Amino acid sequence: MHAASRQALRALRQRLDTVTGKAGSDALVELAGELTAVAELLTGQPRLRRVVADPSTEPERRADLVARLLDGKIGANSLQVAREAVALRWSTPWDLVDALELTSADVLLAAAENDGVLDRVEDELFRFERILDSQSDLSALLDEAAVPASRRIELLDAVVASKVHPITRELLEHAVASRRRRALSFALGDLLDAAANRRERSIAKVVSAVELSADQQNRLAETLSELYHRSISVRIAVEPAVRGGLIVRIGDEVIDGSVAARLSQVRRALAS
Amino acid sequence: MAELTISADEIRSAIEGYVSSYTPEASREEVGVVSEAGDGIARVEGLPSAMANELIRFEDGTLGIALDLDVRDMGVVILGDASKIEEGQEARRTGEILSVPVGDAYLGRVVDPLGDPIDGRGEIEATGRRALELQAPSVVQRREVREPLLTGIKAIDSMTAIGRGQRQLIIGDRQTGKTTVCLDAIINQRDNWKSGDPKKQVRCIYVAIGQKGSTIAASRNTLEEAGAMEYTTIVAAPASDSAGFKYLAPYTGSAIGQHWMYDGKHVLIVFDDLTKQAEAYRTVSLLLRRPPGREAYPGDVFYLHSRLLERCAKLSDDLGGGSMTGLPVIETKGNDVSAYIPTNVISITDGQCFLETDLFNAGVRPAINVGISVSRVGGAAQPRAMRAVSGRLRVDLAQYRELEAFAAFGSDLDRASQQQLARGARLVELLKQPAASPFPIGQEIVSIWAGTTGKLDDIEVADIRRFERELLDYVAHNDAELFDSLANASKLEDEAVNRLEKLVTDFKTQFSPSSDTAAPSGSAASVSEAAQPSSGESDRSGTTGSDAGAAQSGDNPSGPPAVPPSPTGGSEN
Repeated sequence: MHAASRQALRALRQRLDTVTGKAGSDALVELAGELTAVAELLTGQPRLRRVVADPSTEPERRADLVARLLDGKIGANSLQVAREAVALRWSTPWDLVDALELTSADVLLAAAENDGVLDRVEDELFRFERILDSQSDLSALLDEAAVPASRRIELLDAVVASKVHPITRELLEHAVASRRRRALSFALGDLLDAAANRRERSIAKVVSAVELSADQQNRLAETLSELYHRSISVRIAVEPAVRGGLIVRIGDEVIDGSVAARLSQVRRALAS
Repeated sequence: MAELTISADEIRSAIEGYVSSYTPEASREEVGVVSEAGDGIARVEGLPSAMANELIRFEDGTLGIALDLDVRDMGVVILGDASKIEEGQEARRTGEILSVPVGDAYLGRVVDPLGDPIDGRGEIEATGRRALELQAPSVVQRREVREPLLTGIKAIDSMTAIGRGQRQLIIGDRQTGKTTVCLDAIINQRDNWKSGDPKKQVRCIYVAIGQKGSTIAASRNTLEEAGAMEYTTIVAAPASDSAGFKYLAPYTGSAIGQHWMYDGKHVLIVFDDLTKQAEAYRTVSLLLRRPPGREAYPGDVFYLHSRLLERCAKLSDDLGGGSMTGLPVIETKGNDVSAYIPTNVISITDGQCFLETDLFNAGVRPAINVGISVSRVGGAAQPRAMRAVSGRLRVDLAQYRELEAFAAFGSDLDRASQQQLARGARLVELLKQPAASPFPIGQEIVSIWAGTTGKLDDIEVADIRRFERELLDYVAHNDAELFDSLANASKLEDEAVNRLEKLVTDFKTQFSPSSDTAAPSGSAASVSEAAQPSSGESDRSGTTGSDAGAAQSGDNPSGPPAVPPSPTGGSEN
């Protein structure tokens, strides 16, 4: 994806965070399904896809077009997300379609996180990927683009049936039916990356000069959860070099409130 | 948290259940949709089972080739009018990999690169279809090239002989007579065709790529008037056709020819010309966004030509012993044979005939530069008698070329050199030939024999061609079966040579040179004037020059030898 699409995808994900933090997992599964359906619609209709992702038209008009088309056919939440996705600026129309599928997967992972089963889902995805690796027949049959998706999903169900969590099954079905036409193993690899990222995002690594009391830890966890709209668990390491204050690292972000940092800032200010 | 374990047995049974429950739906048809159209290329989405090089049919019936199979869509080269194809239209598979109908009904017809007739004479009854991208015969399926393919052009048949199954490149600048050489080769097969002997008959295919419509029509008229259309097929992709057609036309011709070749028949195919096919392929590749290489040609432009020309072969007896001889034509710019496409095709073919503009302008037609023209099959594919008489020819001409620079001075040369100059000039004159008049092999042999054994040394250069014509008439009149016996001889018999000697001696007594009645100096003047029209301002200057020449070697019994006119004209030297 080029720069514009990457930015748009990031913005879309941030918007979704606020939605997924609060909703129940059933609603989220439905949301994911509808987003995938919108992506399929756009895949099958080249003209619509091009019109809807045309950056030279006004975003509101594009959003209104989508709203008019899909009103009543998908839920209110999905419609809202679709409107927002369409109003962003995408490098190519296919990026919009890819983004919708990616966010649909994100939503399912968020549902798993909310239910506390993210680890299990990730593990099941990993095991299925290993199974596909060793069973090339199964892999080839699931990847056959000429066969309609519904038949391939039947095969998938016959294999995994009741052995996986429903959310894992949803993820796998979406991956098989996806018209991005990539091999299933690639799609699984991406899902695993997304799951790992999501897991990392929910863990805060804290470096402190001294031990924190249980009360302080809880307060820290609560504050961070407020800040990030999702439940954050805290891991603490003690390092005297910090001198005081805390360095908090969540995913890719770092909040540096340590005394050592402030001292070096002062040093630099004096030197210049 | 339970681990996900699925045993191999479960997977196997699930797959078996899936596969056994599969019922192919006969009526289901895949439909694709055009997502982009323009510049002769359409991008089509959908159609997941489309094959590479498959023919795709658009809504209005136009066909296209699926050249580029990408993850989400395919690049389809439109064969025909691209203006009616729009975004959103449907496209369907035809299920056929690029192929054309083939059969004997193609003889005498003019078709487009998809095999459809364009001469308005009705449908063609094909005996089958043949894919355009089949492999060339392998090494064990081939035989050595031993049989001659006679072009009827003395210069080619004597020095750069072509065999059946060989690829001989005809290369030169524009307007140097390349097409004429090829058409003459086709016309020369008429006697073979009339003989009815399948071992002799050669079916001809003329592939016209990117030429003007008027030129193609003129070529067709030439062939018809010479009675050659009976055994010739013309595959025409004129300049007005889309790039896809021009790219395909040689392969279509090759497929039609290969059908006959594998049937044990002999085929001659002319690709006129491959430069335009390379340009069309470059157009298509650039529009498909393939990375450009040297001179903006795509990376596989060598493969474009090599796989085409490798299909010209001589098959082994197991496969019927048929052959397909290829005469590709390449147009150079400024006589530059070291450009990209010319060097590619030179390295693919088994020899080349190089036609030069300078020779053409100086009146040497066909303008073949025998110094750098070569045939890698050469003598093995020449009739024996021709091989025997033409042995000296190349050497004589090479020596003549070396001395040519001195011809402008005309004086201060020793007798041997002057002799060489005289001989060379006569040989050059002898090898000239009008268009659309190929010589039968017997006549060629007699003619070349007379030239290389010095029988023409006492004939004025300006009279050479008339002498030759009348000599051949004389022989035809008095000893006609000598031609046939020379053509089929396994070696040049002494008896045949004696007959030739006698015939020539007898004929010379009858032959009257054109300047017989005038005085020697006058005759020299008229000869010089005829030979150098650009400098014929006054008799005085002409006479002075040739008198000087006459004074030099006055002991030549039949009058002053004409100062050999340098073919390029004195001023240009």
